[in-house]
Amino acid sequence: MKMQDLRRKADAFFFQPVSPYPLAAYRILFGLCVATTLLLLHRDWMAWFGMHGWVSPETIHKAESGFRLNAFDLLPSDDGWVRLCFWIFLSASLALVVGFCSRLSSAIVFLALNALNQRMPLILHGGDTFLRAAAFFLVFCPSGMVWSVDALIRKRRHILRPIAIKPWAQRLIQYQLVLIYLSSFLWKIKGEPWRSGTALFYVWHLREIQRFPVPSLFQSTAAIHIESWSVLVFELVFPLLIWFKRFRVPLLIVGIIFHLTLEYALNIPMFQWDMLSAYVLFVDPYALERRAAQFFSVVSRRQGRTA
Amino acid sequence: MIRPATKLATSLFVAFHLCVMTLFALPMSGNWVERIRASVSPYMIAIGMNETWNTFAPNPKSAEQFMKAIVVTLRGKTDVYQFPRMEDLSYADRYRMERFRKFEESVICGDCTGLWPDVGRYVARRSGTPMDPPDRVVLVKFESAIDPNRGLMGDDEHAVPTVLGELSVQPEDLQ
Repeated sequence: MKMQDLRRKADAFFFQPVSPYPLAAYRILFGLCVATTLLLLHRDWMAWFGMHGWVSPETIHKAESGFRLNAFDLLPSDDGWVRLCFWIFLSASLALVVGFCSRLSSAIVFLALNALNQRMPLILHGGDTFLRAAAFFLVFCPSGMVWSVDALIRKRRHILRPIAIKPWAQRLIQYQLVLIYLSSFLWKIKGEPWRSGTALFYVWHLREIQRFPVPSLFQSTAAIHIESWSVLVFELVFPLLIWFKRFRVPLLIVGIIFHLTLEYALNIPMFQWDMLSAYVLFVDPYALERRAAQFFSVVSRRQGRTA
Repeated sequence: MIRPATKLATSLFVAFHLCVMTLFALPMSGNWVERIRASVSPYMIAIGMNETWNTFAPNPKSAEQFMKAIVVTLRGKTDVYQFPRMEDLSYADRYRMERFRKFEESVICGDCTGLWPDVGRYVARRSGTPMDPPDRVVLVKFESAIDPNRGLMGDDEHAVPTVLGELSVQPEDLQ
């Protein structure tokens, strides 16, 4: 392939206008993931982020020097403000779900997720990290173009906007997702338990991380070998082949099964949903539009009947 | 239509992020990798994108770990604070409180000594009474190996205690 061809393909990949529906669907799912994460944190919010929490802001500053984009640092050192932050962060995530002031809401959600990380990185997991990265790129996305309050407001004011969007920021979210799988594969392949196929024996037997009991059928030696190697194969194949249309649907289905299995077996709140929500960015936009149109027509028919 | 200057700026932004995301995520080493990582790390840290994706890797955790804090009051009374253990909680509670497990895991690490006084202080504030306030808090880590070759499955009875540190509680710690 010539350099010019490569450039043309990259240009089309990042800048050729695409349907705004997958991004809008992602905005909704992403907002729901953030809101649920915040709600799960609500009861212990002050214990983690308060001035007199488990770890003081001063200790965290000492441990993590350098410039930090931390919303908590911009506020007065007072528990009332920390409490208020929760409600601002939650409101912004819900605003993102309904697509109200989508760009501003994305920016607030990014600042919120980054603030949680800068204030208390000790309690966060990979799902939170992925949400944070996605939030950063979502700020640059026109995610409120459709299926949003923003779109309704524009329609009322007769403001016309092009119905296709430039996908470069959306592509960066997709890239972040596949990078997670590829990185996980490369880290795992360094470990002897993964290469020998025994790794999942340890994972299934860690009581501290167990959720629902894994059936004994899946805990036999042979099953553990197959499962461990399957994880490696999936984490390598997904990032390499998801970009090709013919492999996309089977890979997304395998990915859904993979994450739902982990959601059943492991107690890592929201991680699987954080990852799965980004799958919608790979879905065929026309299929998504069709399904959404069917859904809305069924809803309006039902409403018509009840009225 | 995008203006050429905007297109160029956007392309540079995209290319930069593709490169640095890859450099930070993948387990690569080498002088040039380290140099680039060091030069862009202030930016990546500021926006919170400096994480690696190595859960259960390269080796999955092969030991159950938990932590207790022993509080000794001025009058010598002993109180044990048990950090929430996920396996003892209901399904709903363990989903909500998993952050405690993650916190414990983070605090237990060898080079986390700077965090222990804060943890001790927090436990001290929850213990004792005004008449008999806490005097000392001792943090103890318990570790029980999971090793199929030795028939060890991370049971509590095989857990080995290790004292992480001791905090002498001052009156200002309780405020």
